[in-house]
Amino acid sequence: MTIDSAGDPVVDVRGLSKTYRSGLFRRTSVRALGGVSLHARAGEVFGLLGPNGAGKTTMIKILLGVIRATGGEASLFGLPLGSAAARRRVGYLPESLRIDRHHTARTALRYYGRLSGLDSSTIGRRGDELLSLVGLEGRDREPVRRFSKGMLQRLGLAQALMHDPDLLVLDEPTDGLDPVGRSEVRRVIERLRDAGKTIFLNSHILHEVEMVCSHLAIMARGKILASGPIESLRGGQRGEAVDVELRLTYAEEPTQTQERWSHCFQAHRATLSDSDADGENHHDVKELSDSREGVSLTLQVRDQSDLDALVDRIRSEGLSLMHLQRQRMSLEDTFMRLVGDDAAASRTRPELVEASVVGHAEDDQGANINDAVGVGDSS
Amino acid sequence: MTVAWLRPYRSVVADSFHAATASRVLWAAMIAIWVLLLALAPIGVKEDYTTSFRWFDFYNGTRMKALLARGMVDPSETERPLGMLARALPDDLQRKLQRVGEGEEVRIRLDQFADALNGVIAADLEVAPKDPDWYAKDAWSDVLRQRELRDLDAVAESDLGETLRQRRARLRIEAALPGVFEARSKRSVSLTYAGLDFPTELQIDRAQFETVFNQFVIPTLVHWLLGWVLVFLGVLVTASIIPDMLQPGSLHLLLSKPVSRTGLLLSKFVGGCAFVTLCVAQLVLGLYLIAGLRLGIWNHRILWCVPVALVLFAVFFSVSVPAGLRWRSPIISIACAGALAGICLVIGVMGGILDARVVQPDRIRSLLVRGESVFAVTNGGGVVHYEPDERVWAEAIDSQAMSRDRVLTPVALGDDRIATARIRGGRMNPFGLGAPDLVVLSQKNDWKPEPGMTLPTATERLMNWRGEKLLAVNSADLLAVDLDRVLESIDAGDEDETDSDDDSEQQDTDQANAPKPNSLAQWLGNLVTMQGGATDEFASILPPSFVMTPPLRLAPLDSDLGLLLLSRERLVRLVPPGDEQISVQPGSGSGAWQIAARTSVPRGDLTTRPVLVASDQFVLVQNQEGPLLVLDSDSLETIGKIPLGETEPLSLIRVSENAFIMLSMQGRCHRVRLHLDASDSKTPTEETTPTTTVADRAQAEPEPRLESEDLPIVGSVSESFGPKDVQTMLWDGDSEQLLIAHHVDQVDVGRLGDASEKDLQWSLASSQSIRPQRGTWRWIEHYVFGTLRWLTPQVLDLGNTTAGMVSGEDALVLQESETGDADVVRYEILGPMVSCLLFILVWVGGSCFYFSRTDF
Repeated sequence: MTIDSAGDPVVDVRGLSKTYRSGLFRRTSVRALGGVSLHARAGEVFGLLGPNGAGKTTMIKILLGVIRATGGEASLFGLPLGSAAARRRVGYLPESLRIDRHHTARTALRYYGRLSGLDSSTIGRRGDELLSLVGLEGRDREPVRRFSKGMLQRLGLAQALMHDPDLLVLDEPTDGLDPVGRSEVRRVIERLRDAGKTIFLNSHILHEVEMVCSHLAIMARGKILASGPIESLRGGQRGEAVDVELRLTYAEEPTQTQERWSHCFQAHRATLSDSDADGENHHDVKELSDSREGVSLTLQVRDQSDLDALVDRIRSEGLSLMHLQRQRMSLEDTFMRLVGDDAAASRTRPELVEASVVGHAEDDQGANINDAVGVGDSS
Repeated sequence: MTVAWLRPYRSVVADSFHAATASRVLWAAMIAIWVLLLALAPIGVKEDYTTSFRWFDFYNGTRMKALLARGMVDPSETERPLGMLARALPDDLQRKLQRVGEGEEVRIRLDQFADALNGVIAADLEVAPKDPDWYAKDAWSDVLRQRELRDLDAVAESDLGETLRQRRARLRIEAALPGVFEARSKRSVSLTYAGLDFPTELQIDRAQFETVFNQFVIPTLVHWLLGWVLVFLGVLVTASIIPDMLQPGSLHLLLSKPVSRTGLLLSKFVGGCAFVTLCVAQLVLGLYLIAGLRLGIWNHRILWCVPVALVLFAVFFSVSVPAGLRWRSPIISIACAGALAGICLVIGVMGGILDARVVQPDRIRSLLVRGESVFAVTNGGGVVHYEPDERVWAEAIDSQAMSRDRVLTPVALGDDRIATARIRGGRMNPFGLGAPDLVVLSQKNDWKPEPGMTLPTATERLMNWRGEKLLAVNSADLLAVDLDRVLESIDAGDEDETDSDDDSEQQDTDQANAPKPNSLAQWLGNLVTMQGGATDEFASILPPSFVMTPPLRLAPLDSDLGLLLLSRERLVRLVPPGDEQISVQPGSGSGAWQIAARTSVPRGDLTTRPVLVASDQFVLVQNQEGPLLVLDSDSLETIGKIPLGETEPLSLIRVSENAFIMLSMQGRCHRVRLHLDASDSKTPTEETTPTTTVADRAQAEPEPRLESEDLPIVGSVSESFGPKDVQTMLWDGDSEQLLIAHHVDQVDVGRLGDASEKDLQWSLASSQSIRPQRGTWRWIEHYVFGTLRWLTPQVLDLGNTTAGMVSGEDALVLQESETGDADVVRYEILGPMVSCLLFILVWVGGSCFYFSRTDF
């Protein structure tokens, strides 16, 4: 099976939009996607994160060719979406997997294997391997109606892997599972990731995404709000202000620490004011506490040179730096901030994401939002 | 060989089978089927001699009553079979017969006769090995005995078992009462259950039993009863297939696989048929095995019921599928299938009612041309003549819906009169045959019906023989009256009508003074009339030694050769007694015709319809399945055979000496042409004189090439020509035109090409053809219901398809008079199938389009 080189996107989506129409004469329309662009490369575990109703499943349906996009372009492996050649290289685990009750694990794998065009011998061989991989060996003759949801999801993973796909699309694979089931499924995904599979994971569970994904796109109201390597989305990207936690003391006279710090801070602030190009103040003290041992405070620094200058000033004032810790944003912080900002923006411009009459320039507006939050694609 | 791209779709179909086998409803249905098959399995069939009588064995009950009454009252019959048999009947029946003999009107039920005669047969056993009181060898010596009876009489008494003795008794009774009984087979089948006899015999032979089984029992059981039940059970079970498939966790997974949506839906559709396939296949296979193993009927065509039932199911499933796609609800899918069934039922029933009440009464059964006028007898028991100016059939005798009356094919009485008779209830009721009056329609009377002379009892056919005599045929006799006498009586009737006021008083006086029928001679005369014998006007012309046995066929010959009479398997040529005797004396019996030639035509089983037609040179006859036999009209020697292949003749008419038109059971016309030598195509007419026999001709001719088992005459049957669904046809010798009645009341009039030409040329005279205007109800039936029938699947008519496919016949004679007047039902085998398949195609195609274009 061909594995795409690291430079070629496996999933290539550009300005994809989807509007559902309904009602008499199809006059009512609901826009589910508004100009989505993203790229996932071979070997990545790409997470699509977003709240319910963000358009994640619509996105996956379009990628699988289940529904057609209203606008934009997309391809899988450079092949048109929905083509048999593209679907032959994709394994899919739907959100609420439903396997007919008359099947056992073995017959279900045989059925879905045949649907993927496999011959009997391949089905037999792959079936054994995959049942072992998902931990269902020995349970393959049981009717699936006796399976727990976790077992069903693992069986779903096995069927998605029957034809050894180049891309695995998992739609909310742990949704509705108990912690044990969630752990079991996650373990399988991690094994697949370690085996080098390209995985496109759709989830609204932050923790899960954070644990298994290497790349991430955050999506809300039909738009990609942020996208890139997961580390970059946790905060602290180049050029972004970070909070720093300090604990200082004046060794000669600890009670004068507060006074010495104020002098030091004013001097440092004066130094920086001359070079502030954006006119924003990055040096507001967010927290300050004074004690007999010294002063604890949190403040925001603009960048590393800013921090270096601050440390130099502290030392030159005779203060001792007892503790310094750079505070990083969690994925949840990023997510909440992006989704919150988007929700606020949508309140001021509701026409962007709410149900609307066809004819709006959704692609342009979607691009503007991406620009506003200052993130582009992961490249 | 495995086709890889089909693998996914086969998998979907196989999965549907898998799902079906996991269905509890399926297992419940299968258990019900197995229980039914187990219940049917002990049924067996036993074949034995036909020994007892049933009420439907009597063809002419009136004649039987008259014969037995005569046996009671006629002293000359005391020591003869009639008298001996009558005296062996129960006392109460004897008293009734005595009263009949004395001229009273006494009604006797047929089953009373049957019980009485069965008692007579039983009495034979009680006195065995002696002859019973009602039988004496000498008395039966001068009655016509069938060969079977002669053979049995020759067997020693001790060598006859009970059954054969009973059979012999029955044959003796039949011989004593000629012209009374329906033709029954020598052996009858009776049903058994787990080795136990059913109480009654079926009174049909094995061939008839197979016909009934294949044409009625199996189609009814499989299609109407179980087919519909299983189909609707199938609709209930499969209604959830599509909504289930559309569940997000199922559909999106399926659509993520490299399969086409159209292929996926088609596979689901085919797989959905799995349920009905499994059920119907078991049922039909079980019935096939039971029919073969228990009844000895190995009819592989029974297996056709499976695809027909599948088509029936697929019609409803094809509506259930788009409903499931659109609304994703099994309930709505079931409701849509039910709505379709309701629509089909309403259209079918309404169409059927209109057909029975409006169309069938107008359907032409027979034609007659007299001068410029065209007459037709309708299915509704009416006589109509065509008014070309108004383009309507004007009714001379009213047609009635669901009529049980039978109107005889009219005969011409001169240029401006025709005559017919209407037999009340004459289709089914043996007592309804009665003694009908001649009904005369004359041009001067604007073709209004007028009563004529009384015809012999149970007259079934009238015939104008060479413009000299009017012949009347019933089941027992052939009677004739001079045509002049008929015309005189009609003219006298007209005058009587004119003078009726003046004469009414005189008539009353005459009637009052008329002698009452209280003398023995008068009683016997009346009984002879009642039994279908000679009347005041009609004299029997049947040779005294000849007893007619149904089925009967009659064919007149133009020349002095007389006429041909086929009675079961005896074919005779009857000629008038001679010029000096040609004037028949009514009631004298002296006018009996003579048998100029006779032969035996092998008779097939009772399901075979005899066909007879003759020119002055050739006789074409078919009495059993196989080729048409060609006989010499003069000597009745077999001189040729014409293979018919799959074509089964319904009737034949003569066009010329060596050309005939055959109407097939399928309703198509074929020309049958005879010739001596196929190489030069010279017709016998061209090479021989009409008076020479074929044997003479064969000797005179130089080495004719002999074909068909060295018989000198060969014949050819043309491809079908003319319209389809032909009901009857008529050759008008005066205008040399062929009239073909088809499609209810339309008549094509046309000419045939030269008989010597190899290919038939049928030229339709459009200007003369009859295309009557439709009345309002006929218009509604034709255009409204005709359109609706084609817009909806003809599921109700699939029963005909089943019957046709299982029996291998595409036409069935429902009823037939002993002289050949038949009600034919033609199965539409392909029409309903095409209608249903088109419906399925449209709906499934629409579903595939919707499925492939819709976001789910």
